[in-house]
Formats: sequence, C-alpha cells, structure tokens
Amino acid sequence: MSGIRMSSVAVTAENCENGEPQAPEESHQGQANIPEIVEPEDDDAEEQEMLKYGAKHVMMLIVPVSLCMIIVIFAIRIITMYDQVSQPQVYLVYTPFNDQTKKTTGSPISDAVLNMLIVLGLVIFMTCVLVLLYKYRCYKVIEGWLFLSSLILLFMFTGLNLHEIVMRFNFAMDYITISLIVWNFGVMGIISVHWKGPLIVQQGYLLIISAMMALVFIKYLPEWTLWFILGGIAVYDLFAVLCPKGPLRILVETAEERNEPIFPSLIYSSTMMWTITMAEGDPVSSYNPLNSSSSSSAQGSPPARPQPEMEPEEQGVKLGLGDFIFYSVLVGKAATADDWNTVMACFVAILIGLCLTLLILAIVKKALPALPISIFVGIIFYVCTRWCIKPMCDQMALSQVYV
Amino acid sequence: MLPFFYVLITSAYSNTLNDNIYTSIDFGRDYCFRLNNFNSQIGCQTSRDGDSGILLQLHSAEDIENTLKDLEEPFIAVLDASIFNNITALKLKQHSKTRGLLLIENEESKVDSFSPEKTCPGNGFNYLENVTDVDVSAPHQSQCIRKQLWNPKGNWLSYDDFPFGIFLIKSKSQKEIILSKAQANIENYSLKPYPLWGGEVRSFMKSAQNTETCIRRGTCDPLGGYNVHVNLIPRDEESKKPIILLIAKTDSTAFFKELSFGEQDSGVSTAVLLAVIKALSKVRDENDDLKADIMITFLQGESFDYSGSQRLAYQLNPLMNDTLQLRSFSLTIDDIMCVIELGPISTLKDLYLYPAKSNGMTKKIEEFFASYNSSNIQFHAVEPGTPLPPSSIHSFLRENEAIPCILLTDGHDNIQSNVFGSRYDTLNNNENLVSRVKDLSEIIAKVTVQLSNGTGASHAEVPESLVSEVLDCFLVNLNCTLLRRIGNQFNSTANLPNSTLSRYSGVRNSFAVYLRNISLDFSMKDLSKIVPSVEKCNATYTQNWAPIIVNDTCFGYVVNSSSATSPAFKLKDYSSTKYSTWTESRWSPNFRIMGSCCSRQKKSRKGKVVYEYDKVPDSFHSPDSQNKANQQLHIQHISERDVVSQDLLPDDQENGTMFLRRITMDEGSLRRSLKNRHRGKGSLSSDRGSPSTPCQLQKANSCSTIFIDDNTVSQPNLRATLKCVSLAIYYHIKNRDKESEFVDILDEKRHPLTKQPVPSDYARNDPPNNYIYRFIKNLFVSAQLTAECAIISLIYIERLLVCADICLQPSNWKRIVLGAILLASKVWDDQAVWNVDYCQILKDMVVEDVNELERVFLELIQFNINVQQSAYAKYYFDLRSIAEQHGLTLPIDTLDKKRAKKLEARSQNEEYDKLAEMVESGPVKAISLENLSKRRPSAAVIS
Amino acid sequence: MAVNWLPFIGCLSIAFGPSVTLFLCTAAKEAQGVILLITSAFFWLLSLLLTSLVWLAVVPLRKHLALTLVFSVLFQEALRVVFVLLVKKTDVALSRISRETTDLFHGPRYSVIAGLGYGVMSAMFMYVNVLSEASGPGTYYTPGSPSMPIFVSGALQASVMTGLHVCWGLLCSEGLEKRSWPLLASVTLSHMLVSCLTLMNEAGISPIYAIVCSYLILAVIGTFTFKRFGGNIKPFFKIQ
Repeated sequence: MSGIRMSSVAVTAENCENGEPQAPEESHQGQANIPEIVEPEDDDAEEQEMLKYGAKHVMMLIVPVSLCMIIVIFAIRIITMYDQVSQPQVYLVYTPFNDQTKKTTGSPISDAVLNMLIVLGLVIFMTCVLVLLYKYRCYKVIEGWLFLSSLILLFMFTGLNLHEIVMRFNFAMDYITISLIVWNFGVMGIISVHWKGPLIVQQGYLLIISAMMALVFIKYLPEWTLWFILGGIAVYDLFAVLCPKGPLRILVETAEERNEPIFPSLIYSSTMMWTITMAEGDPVSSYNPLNSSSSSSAQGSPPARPQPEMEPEEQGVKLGLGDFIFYSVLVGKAATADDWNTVMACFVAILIGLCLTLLILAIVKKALPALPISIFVGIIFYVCTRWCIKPMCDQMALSQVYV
Repeated sequence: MLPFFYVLITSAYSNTLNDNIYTSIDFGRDYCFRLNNFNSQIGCQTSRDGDSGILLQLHSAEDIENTLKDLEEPFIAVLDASIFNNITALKLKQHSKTRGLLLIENEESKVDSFSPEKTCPGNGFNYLENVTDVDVSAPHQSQCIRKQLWNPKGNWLSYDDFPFGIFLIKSKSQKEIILSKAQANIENYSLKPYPLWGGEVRSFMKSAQNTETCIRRGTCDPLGGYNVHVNLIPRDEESKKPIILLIAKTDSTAFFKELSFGEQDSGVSTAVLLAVIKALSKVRDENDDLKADIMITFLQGESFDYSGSQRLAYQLNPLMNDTLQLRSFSLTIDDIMCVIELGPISTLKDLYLYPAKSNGMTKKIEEFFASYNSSNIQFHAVEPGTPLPPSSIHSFLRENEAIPCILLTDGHDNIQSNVFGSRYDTLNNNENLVSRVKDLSEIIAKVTVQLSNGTGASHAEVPESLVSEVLDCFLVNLNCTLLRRIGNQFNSTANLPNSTLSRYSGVRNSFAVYLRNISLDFSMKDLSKIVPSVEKCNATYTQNWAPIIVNDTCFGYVVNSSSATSPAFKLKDYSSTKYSTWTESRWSPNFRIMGSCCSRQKKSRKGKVVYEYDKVPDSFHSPDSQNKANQQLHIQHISERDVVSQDLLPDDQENGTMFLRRITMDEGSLRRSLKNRHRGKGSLSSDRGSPSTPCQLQKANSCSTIFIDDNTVSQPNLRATLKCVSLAIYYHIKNRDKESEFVDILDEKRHPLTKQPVPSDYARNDPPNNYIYRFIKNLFVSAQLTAECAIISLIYIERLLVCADICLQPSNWKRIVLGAILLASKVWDDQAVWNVDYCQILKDMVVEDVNELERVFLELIQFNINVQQSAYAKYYFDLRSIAEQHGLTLPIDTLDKKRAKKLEARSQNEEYDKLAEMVESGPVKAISLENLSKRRPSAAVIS
Repeated sequence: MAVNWLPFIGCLSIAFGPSVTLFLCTAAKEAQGVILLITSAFFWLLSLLLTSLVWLAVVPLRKHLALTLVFSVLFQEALRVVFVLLVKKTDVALSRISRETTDLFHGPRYSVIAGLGYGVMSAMFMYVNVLSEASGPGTYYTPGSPSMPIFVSGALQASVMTGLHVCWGLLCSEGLEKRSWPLLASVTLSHMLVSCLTLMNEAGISPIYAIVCSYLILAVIGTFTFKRFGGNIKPFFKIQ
C-alpha cells in the first residue's frame, strides 16, 4: 500500500520560532517539506493497489494545492493591498538589504542573494533546533510553538486581512463585530487543528493558514529576494531530504523509528489521524500492533487509528504546509502582475511539477522533496510567459487571431 | 544581452487590450472635492469604483431639458464652463442618470456675474445670530438676521452636494480628446446600436456625512492654515499699552477650490494691509514713541465660517487655556483698544465704515477717516443702526461684544463684486489701482497713528513701486520680483510656483509663508544702535526683537504666526455650532475615456494620501515659539526628506560647491576656477602655470609622457587635501554673508572643546588659516583618517550649512568641523574611530557631548549622508582649483609604472565593481520596468 | 473600475461552459483523468512556448501573425502527436507492471480528455485576458465589427476552438493507433484552416464570418468523428 507521505519538518522549526512574539511573520519560512515514499513490500497486490490508488492520492494532493493557490490568487486580485506598493514599503526583519533601509549593496541582485542567505541560514538553524528538540523528546516545547504559531496566524492575520477587505469595499464595521468574527474563526481553527474537528474543517483551516502565510511573504518580501528565496528553499529542500545527514531526513527517520506521527498543525492530511489520537488523548495508545507489524503501514497509517472502519487505502496522503505556501507564493507573485496568462502558466506548471514528483516517487521509491521540480518549472514558465508568451498573446488577442 | 532584454520589455508592454480601451486623463487638482462641516457634506462624490456613462455634450439649459428628457442610459455631461450655474447644475442633479460632469473652460467666454457662494456668507456664525428673540431693530447685528442679503448674486452652488464628480478641463489636448469623442457621440447617437464613447470618472471621497463622523474615521483633515501677526515693536507686558488691531481676511474660496483667486474678495485688502505695514514701520523708524501698540493680523480660513478669526478670538480670551503665545509676550482680549478690519475692496472709490457698535472710539475713527476724504477716495460713515456685514469682526464680538470694531469695505449694504467666491474673482483692470492702494494704505496708517498718539503722522508713506510689486505678487504671479528678492535676502530655500496665487486656505498652505516673509521684510527694524556689533546679533542682545542679519546689519522683527484651525478642533467638539467645523476629505481622483481607439498615456498612480502638504520652507522656521511648534510638524524621517532643500544641496549636479562661491566672492576669480574645474582631466590639469609657481614651465602632457603630482581623485594626497579643505573652511568663515541664529550644540562657548576658558571675543574674530589647518591636521593625524574623509567632511559641512540654513562663523566652526569629520570617518572608514577616541584626542571633551553633537549634526543634514561619486569628484577638483590659486600644488613628476599603480590602485578595482554591477544589472532594469507598468488605476487606501 | 458582472458572466459561460460540462462528465470522474487533462494542457503550453520563442527570435514574425500562426499550428500538432505517443507508452508500461490490463489511459475517453485539455488551455490563453477586460465598463470593437464587441466574438471563437480540439484529439489518437496518415494530415490541415479563417478578423472583416465558418467546420469534423467512432454516442455514455 502506498503511504505517499509528505512529512513536514522544518515547518515545526519555523513554528518554534513562530512562537516568538516579536516576529510572527517570519514563521514558516523554511517549510521545506519532504514528500517521502515508503516502499511497500514488493508483491503484486501492493503494486496493484499502488497503481489503483496512486492516481487517487495524486488527486488528493492536486485538489487542495489548487484550492490554496486559487485562494491566494483571488485574495491578491481582490484585496488591493497585496499588489499595491505601500509607501514606505515595509519588509521582514530578516531581509535587511532592500531599497527602503539605506544599507543596500547597490545592485538588487546582490541584496537579494544576501537576504536569501540570511533567511536560509535562519531556516537551517531552526530546523536543527527542532531536530534536537525532537531527538530529546521535548514534545511539549514543540507543541507549544506550534500552538502559538497557529494562534498568531489565525488571529492576527485574519484580523489584518479582514481589515483590508473592509477597507477595500469601504463598508463600516464596528470593532465588536470584527472581534467576534475573528474570535470565532480563530478559536474554531485552533480547536479543529490542534484537537479535534471534522476532517474537512481541519483541512480548510490548514489551507487558509498556508494561504495567509503565502500572502504575508508576497507582501513583505522584496521582489528579487522573494524569487531567490523560492529558488534557495527548493535547493535546500533537495539537500535536507536527500543527504543522509540532512536534518529533515534525520527527523523523519527518528519519527519513523519512534513510530509517531509528525505534528498535526504542520501537515495537510487527507485522512483523520491525530485528531483521534487527541480525542483519545493518551499517547500510549498511539502504538498499535498493526503499525509495528509492518513498517510501511506504520509510516503511512496514523497510529492509534481505530482499525476496523479504516480501509488500508484510506490512509493518509500528507503534504506539508510549506509546499502549499511556496506554491502559492509563486502563483500569487504571478498574479500581482496584471496578466492572467502568467498566472495560468505558473498554475499548470506547478501542478505538472507535483505530478512529476509523485511519478518519480512512485518509480524510484525513495524519499523525495516536493518543492524543487514544481518551483523550478514554475519559475521557468513565469519568466517565459512574462516575456515571450504574453506579448504574442496580446497581439493575437487584439487582432482576434486564434491558433 | 541587455538590448535583448529591452526588446522583450518594450514588446511586452507595447499595447495590451486595456491600453487600447482606456485613455487615462489626469486633471491635476481642477475638480471639486468634498468638504464636511458639523451637519453636512458639500462638494462632489463618485461611487467607490468610479461611475461610467456615455459622453454627452450639452450646450444650454434648454438643451439639457430636451436631451435628457428621454435618455435612459447613464451619461457624463460635457458642459461649457460658462453655462455651469445653479440652474444647469440642478437639472443635472435631478436627472437620475447623471454620472459625471466635465466642464470645458474657455478663456474667451468669461462670466462677469457668477457667485456660487452663500447669499449671506458666514451665515450661522455671525454675532447674535443664533440668539433667539433678537430685537431686529437693534443695531450692530449681522445682516443675515435682517434678511438683508449681503451677496444677492449668491446661488449657494459651492454648498451643494453633488452625487457625481465634476471636473474642470483646461489643457488643450484634453479638451480636444473629450470634445472629439462627445462630437462623435452626437453623430452616432441617432443610430443605435452603439458603440458610443463613454467615460469613467472616479473621485471617491473617503469622508462621509459630517465632520464628527469623518474625523472619527480619520478620513478628513480640518481646514485652516496660519494667521500671521505683525507687531511694529515688541510689546512689553508691564506697560499695559492698548493694542490697535488691524485685520484682513487673506483667503478666499471658489467652486473649484484650487482655483480660488479671490482678488476682489481678499486680494486687494491683503495688499493694502501689507502696504500699511511698510508705512507704519516707516513712521516707527522716524519717531519711536507710539502710545499704543499696533498689531497687524492676516487671517486665514475666513471663507469657511471665520475659522481663523474665531481661533484668534478664542486665543485672546483669557478664560480659554489656549493663549496666543507670541514671541516674548502674550495677548488677551482686554488689551485690545479697537479692531479695524479691511473687508472686500474691489473699487477703491467709495469706502464705507461699518461700526459694530457705534461709540466714542468708532466715532473718532470715522472722523479720522473722514478727514482724509479726497477726490479719488471717499469715506462714508454708514448711518447708525445699519447692520454689520459678514466679516471677521463677528468672531470678536461673539467673544466680547464690548470691543469697538469697525469694518472698512466698499460694499454699501451689499457686496460690490458680482463674482464673489468664484474662480472668476479676478481684478478687472481698474484704473490707477496702484495709486489708490497707495493712498488708502497711507490713510489707514495715518489714522492708526492718530488713534495711538492723537496727533496725525505726517510721514507715513509707501513707495509706489513697492505697492505695485506687492500687487504683482498677489494678483498676477507668485514668482515675482518682491518674493524672489526677499527669498534671496533671507536665503530661504522655498522655490516659488510660477502661477497665480490660489487663496484656498486648505489644510495647509504656503500662502502664510509668503505673507510672513513679506511682512517681515517690511516691518524689520535696524538694530545697529542697540546691538554692539553684528556678531552679537542674537537674542541675548536684541531685547525682545527676533534678530536677523541682512547684509551685515542686524535687524529685529516681531512677526509671528499661529494656527488658524477653528477652536472646535482644539475643543474636539466636532459637531459644534458655535465654531466653524470645516474639514476636507481625502480622495484619489481619476478619469478615463473608453471606447475603441485612443492610445493611453500612462498615468502615474497617485500616492496613498493624495494631496501633498505644502512644505514649509526653512525661512518659516524662525526661533519664535509658535514656529518651533510648526517645526515639530516637520521632523524629517529619512523616508520623507524635505525635497525642497534636497535639490539644492551644494553637491547636487546643477549648483556648484559653496566654498568656490565664497572664494570668488572674495577674489572675483570665478572664471578661471570654473575653467579649471571644467577641464575634464583634473589630475592632469595641474600644469598650466598657476600664478604662484611661475618658475614652473608649461609642461605639456603627451602620449608618451604624462606629468602628474601625487594627488588624484582615487588617491588624494593627505597633506594637500587638508590644506585645501582648511582653506575652504577659512573662506567660509571669512566671507559669511550673515550671522545665523546659533544652534546651541554647535556653539563653542556652551560646549567648550578645551578646559581653558574660551576667550570672550571667540565669536568675533575669524581664525587664521593655519590655525584651522592645524586643528584639522591634529584630528586627522591622531585619528589616522584618510584624505577622502577630509573631502567627504567638507561635503557634509556644506550640506549642513544649506540644510540648517546657518553659516560657518568663529563661534561654531570648530564644532561643525569636528562633527563633519566624525561623521565622515564613520561613513567612509571601514573601521571607524569611536567617539570615545575623539575624547582622547581632544582631551577635555566628554563622550556624551560628542554623541549629542553627532546626533544634532545628523538631524540637521536630515540623515542624508550618502555622497555621489560625481559630488565627490566635483569637490575634489574644486579643491584642486583653489589649491592652484593659492600655490599649494605639489611638485609635478612624470608618471611611471610604479606611481601609476599606486595612484590608480583604488579606481581600478572600482572599475571592476562597476563592470560587475553593469553585468548583473541587466535583468534588474528589466524587472524594474515591469514594476512600472504594473500600475493600473485603482483606488487609494486611506493612510 | 466598476465591475458589471452580466457581460462578464455571459462571456465566461459562452467560452468555457461547454468545456466545463465536458470536463464534469469525462475527466472529473476519475483521478487519472484529471492528471491526463493537466498533462495535455501542459503540452499545449509547451507548444505555445516554442511558438513564442520563434516569434521572438525571428523579428519579422512580429509583424505578420500569419507566419506565427503557421508555426504555432505545426508545433501544436507535433506536440499532440508526441503527447499521444507518450500516453500510450506510459499506458503500456503501467499495464506491464500491473499484470492485468486495467484501462488506465486507454480508450476514446482519454483521447477526449486529452483533446479537452488542449482545447481549454488554448481557449484560456487566447481569451482570458480579453475576458478580464470584459468586466470593466469599457468595451472594444475590432475594426471589422462595429456592432459585436470583442468579448462576445472572442468567447464564441474560444468555445468553438475547444470543441475542435476535442475532435482533433480523438482523431489524432485514432490516426496514430490505426497508423492512418491521412487522418493525421486532415487533423493538421483542418486546424490550419480554422486558424487561418481567424486571420480575417485581423484583416478587418467582421469576425462573424470566421465564427460561422469555424462552427460549420466543427459540425463537419464532429460528425465525421462520430462516424469514425462508430457513429453512435455510446462510447461517451459507456464511460459513465
């Protein structure tokens, strides 16, 4: 059976840092996520299932990814804040080299590279911190970080976006209403993500969280820095997953041998899992005979899931939120340019990249990062569409020539 | 690679469909926007995303009737501005499909009777007005109670609230575009189906219903500006001299607020009052004993329910805790002997005197005026009981009705001009205006003196040329001789707009600044008698006068300015009916034609808050207390650096370095220094026999041999550079043009550099050149600074002089130089010297002092510390040129390999950097272009 | 920019209504269908990319759309062939892995999906920027048509292109399977023909002619395809 699982690790790292109140936006920056396949035993039945359900699993990822990207695109087109250049433009603390602060190295490229290095260094550092924390089993700390981070995202950024929307459509809304809305939304999110709630609600919240994160990046990162970070994260992802000593690799392996799920609020999952764990509430029950019997199912299947009602193929397809975020960042950035061709090109390119990743996953059957292929295909098509395809399409559209 | 990218970009943004549909038209600020007061909103308003309709040209009221009768689609009316009056406006407003109104302004069709104002201006804010059961027969009450219209032509158009945007089109190209489209529509209109040409107007006003609401939402700002108060002599509070208050309203209004010229309304009276200042100060200079103080006050915001005068009266009221803090004294309403207001004056022939409440004082004033009756100016005292026309006096009466006030205007029981409160309110060339203004001002001056001393003043005269200059400034073009002269005189950094003054007081305006400067120039008094020397021209010596140095003589003045926003905003009573509550909304306008041709001229997006506040030029920052407050409003953040002073920094491309000017001021050798400067190869230019080294033959450079000294741009020679810099500073001190008011931290006496006491004459005698040189050399050697630092610090010094508007003078040069070097070393050197180390070098300084110095220095130069390569080079070559003039050139030698390496060391790797930059900056350009064209018209966010 | 939704939604549903319906009753049923759709869309994108590169590199092409058009059609058809072959390969490979032959990417249905992906993508790239303007207050009329705004004509053209692409997809896979070159040639030629018809718009002739002609061609090709596939519409319903 295929546990196509994208376990996300650096996310945790980022959330740790996200816990720090002073810099909430910097969270999730290093959400490099590893899709990782666990090869099932090599008999026909397994193969059969894989072929049968492989596509299904791919769908299970394609739909939410597209949803997330669509949310971001429309947010950008509707809330004008995101594609307007505010005066003065504020940037993240971690990107000190920009045209606003006077310490620029002259050329935006070098600035961007420096910024990217800073951000990447941060990500790597946080990842390592997390790995250590996880190795030495201080779960409480990690949980706390996760909780705080999702708290900040769900309340602060919801409030921010609501405010922007109200401004955009210029209708007056009193603070009581706003606070009520934000409170209800946030609390519901916290509960369904961290404790228990209907699967669909949980997934929805995870999507919204990553969409908001992506919007934050698009708004608060300098243009070039954003592109370089996209590239850099993808490359880093490659190493962190494929190197035997890559931090994410290590963390995933520990998680496997400890036979535990990775933290709820980081991974988009297509099935119920930890919610039930939480429901039962005792970590002891998270070990069950079936999991321990076959390693594969152990990884794929959530521990402590009630065996009878779950068919084997129903077990979770998981994709780290980081992937959602960076896909959406790319597409969103395309959307800020007033041109739909670019947006669609990036959209299709990313989906293709995802499919390709999964295909390779199914063939080579070893852990693979989810970002690189999609991001690079996406960037290539962004550039090409922007400067080659669009002018031609404009000309054709003007003279109404259809090819 | 680079051109290739450009091809891509240009092809990418050549013509998208959007560009083919829309043509953006930018209107500047010629459209009506929204004002709010305590209970209403006036002006224009479109929906948030803009209103669109077909362009429809209408020619007359009947035309509107007929055309709009059976019109079912929304339209944008195109109207000739001359037929826009309350009838047409009403018709358009009543029609449900009106989406906008474009007024085509034609110079030839000038309307001679159009007043969009109230029939009784200031209605609701006049004395005794909102008191019930007023005895109507009682005197000294406003005409508005007597139902006796002061402005019978008024049609209240400005006070109407339009649900659509109204734009005025002046530029020729825009007229052509719009008219052609409208014409095309008329042709196609009969033949449905379409296309017809349409337009989209967007001037969405953020503010809603009334001031209370919009202030709460932070979508509007209170109107106002500044009142300017001019005293002839500083008032000493002990001797309770009575004060004669001469006031005039200086602002005006119109339907298109930015086009309110209001010359008959307030222009002439302002000019007269300015002339009066000149005349009175002449009297003052002749005999220095005026029994009464005389204060001339220019009021702003009067057109919006007297906000200026209300604020003044409010401040004068001792009970309110908002005393009028003027320089070195404060006023209360009890000190006021009488108030004389100059109302609207268009024809200076028959002038009427309206007493608020006729009593002895007003009688006396009337008599005085009557005694000056002459053939060309007649003063008439209105018969007692005549109601008082709308005027600023009402505000005073409402504070204290006992004050004897008198209004001088040319309207007899209604206003003279037919175009009151419209943009046609310009002065129709009335004959010998200048002489009449001259006469009137002299008469007023004399009357005032008589009031104070009892005896008439013989010599209150104004030169006619001056009057004509003033009129030229305020009625014709702001960029006039008078203002320019005054600007140079105070070296204020304001640059004058080349247009007629618009008197709309707005949220902030630069009008008050011009008034202030002119009246300062007119009223300043030569203090050379009481001040021992020009150096001592500062507050300590000039008792109560604000000191100012104009061409090496010490003058004193008492000119203040105070905020003219209504007391309602100070009381935070935004629904007040007692005080004016006018506020101006924030918005972002935009109009575009749509249809199927037209190339679109890309319109740059407006900023978030759409109107810029007028920058208050430096001359406005004078040491008096009130303006300190203004200064507080202008603490520059790095991002919002004062552009005005920015573009005339000495290291800007256009204007040369200051010290050269100073030197040439000294030697008149501008030409050759310039010649030296402009000869391209500075480093090779050291031949050409310089005067001091005649023995040196004219060595000519050839391809084979190049003669050069040890001093190039890339490798300046330390000793030579220091010498030149010290020379430059020396000349700065030697030929300073004025004693600037001192900045505390820069003053040597307050913050001595050495233990031993500063000599008492530290501020007077200039330091010799070699002393300066030693001072600098000491610093540089002990702090191991490079020669570049010297040049950079010279740049900083001159920046400081410009930005802070001060001069290098014996009292402050040491600390300025120190600060500059401090800064330069920090900016330039990789491991800079710490402030503590300077304390080591200059033994007796404390580090706090150094830090303070550095901070103040930075603030004064507005944190603008980066130096362009060009600027650096310019300074370097200028320094070279003075070096040559003073024979400081180094021995010249042929350029061999080794020296070349040494000299070019820096510039070489700079070249490499440049190259690298150029290589990678290709795509950058491309992207940045993309950012440009990403802009599309979209609503501004409130901020 | 005031948004008036009616024309926008109208044009939207004219242009993409049919394709959405087709999508719902073919691809949306099964996961691999969607994947196939995306992939074919991607291939169309590739073809457009190649075209645009040629367009950019060869400067004179920028003036004359006709040449660009020829290139574009050739690229599209070539990549369509490549795509079909690729799908067949993967199909074989997968069926080899899983011993029993599950029809993964097999059968007319998948050809329809592939064609649909092609068509939708082309329709989008040609039309979506025009559509985004349709929401604004302004309209645009090609010189040829004083009465019909570009939005409507574009929408009609886009929808017919989608339909044609579906048919071409079917015919192409059929041709490759049956090794019948005339079929492939006919596909290419008809595509060329339709695209050249739209050149009339550029020439300033009313777009109505082009649209009518293309719809006629669609009818012809559609019926031909039906005949080719057995003349009944069972295959479409058997799927479900």
